Amino acid sequence: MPKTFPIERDDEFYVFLKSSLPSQFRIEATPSTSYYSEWMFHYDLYDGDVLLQTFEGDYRTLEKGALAREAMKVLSNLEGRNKQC
Amino acid sequence: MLIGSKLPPERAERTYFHTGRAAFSFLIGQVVRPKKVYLPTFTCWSLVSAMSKRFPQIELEFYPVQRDLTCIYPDVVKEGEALVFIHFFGHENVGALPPCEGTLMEDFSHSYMSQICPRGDYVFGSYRKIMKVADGGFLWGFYNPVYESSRKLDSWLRFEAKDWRDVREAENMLDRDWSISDIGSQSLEILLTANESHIRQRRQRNEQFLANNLSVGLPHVIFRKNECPLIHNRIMPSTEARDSLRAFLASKKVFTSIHWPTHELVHKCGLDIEDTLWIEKHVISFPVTHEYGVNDMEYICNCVDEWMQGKGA
Repeated sequence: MPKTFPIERDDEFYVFLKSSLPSQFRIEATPSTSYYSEWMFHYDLYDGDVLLQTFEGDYRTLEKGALAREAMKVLSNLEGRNKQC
Repeated sequence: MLIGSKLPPERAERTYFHTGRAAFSFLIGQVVRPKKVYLPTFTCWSLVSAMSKRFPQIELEFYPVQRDLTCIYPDVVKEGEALVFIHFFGHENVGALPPCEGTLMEDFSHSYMSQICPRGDYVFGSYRKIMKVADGGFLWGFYNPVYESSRKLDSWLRFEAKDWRDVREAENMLDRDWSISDIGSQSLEILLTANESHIRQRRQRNEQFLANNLSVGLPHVIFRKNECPLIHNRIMPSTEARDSLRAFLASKKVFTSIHWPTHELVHKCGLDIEDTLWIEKHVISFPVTHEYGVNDMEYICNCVDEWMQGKGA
């Protein structure tokens, strides 16, 4: 599946992967239910029902661009893996 | 007189934005340009956030709000100052406004369906509080904003959402970063075709049912006939009882909220905010959305009864 848009910022990580992952994969967000927790993130990446990887943390403490680069890497790996299947 | 086919466009009586905070920020930054802004201590997070994010150079001062939502305004709003007041939860804020040489800004986010005659110089708000739309903010009157760019990924995510998690994630995205951008076409279509009378009646009926039939606490607000309730706020005897009830209702798939948790800047403002904190500690906010019927309100009341019985056992 082609990338739906070029990722520019770390906080586009979730939407970028949600819109771009090959169909057998999916990503789910589990945001905190606390008030004022907008900077915290928790994302689970699945292959079917198998949990592949969890991404969690605080957007305020990230190295700028780290999560955007990670998104590109994840997508590239999964697309490569998909082609091999 | 000119007769032709390529004439300037008509002007609407509303100016639309992606969010209420974008409308508010446009108003502050491009129209009113105050040196000082007064906000209530009891307020939505997004107004405080807009001030601190967009206008750190503008002095921000809070005014106290009492338990019954009476506002203790400053003695006078001077030239160059702007005072924001809110019709909390759709209930008209009828308190006398202070003498004003500056600007009165009226937040209609909760009350744009309440048939209230505005008293402020400007009326603005968010559409997302009452209507189930992906985005939307408004400013009464015609303006011609040069909108900022946005891919509106939060709206995209709301449309993809299958449950509360992606809706919350979208809300978080918006809280982290937002711009003064235009409303989405899907939202505008829904807003322009909404049956306001029907929406108001259903919300009134739902709220009235909860006001009369919930077996715990007391209503925080008694709505008037012309008002369209945003929620039913109930004042509970203690924070422990409130939190226990919220948890029980969540286990029954009834999701309540707290309007509002107090913003950290309000905590630091140096005013007596005891009443604002008291509301935060005692209030539970029940949904009365027009998509729900009286049977849904009955279900809520039955769940509350069940919690009461378990608590007494």
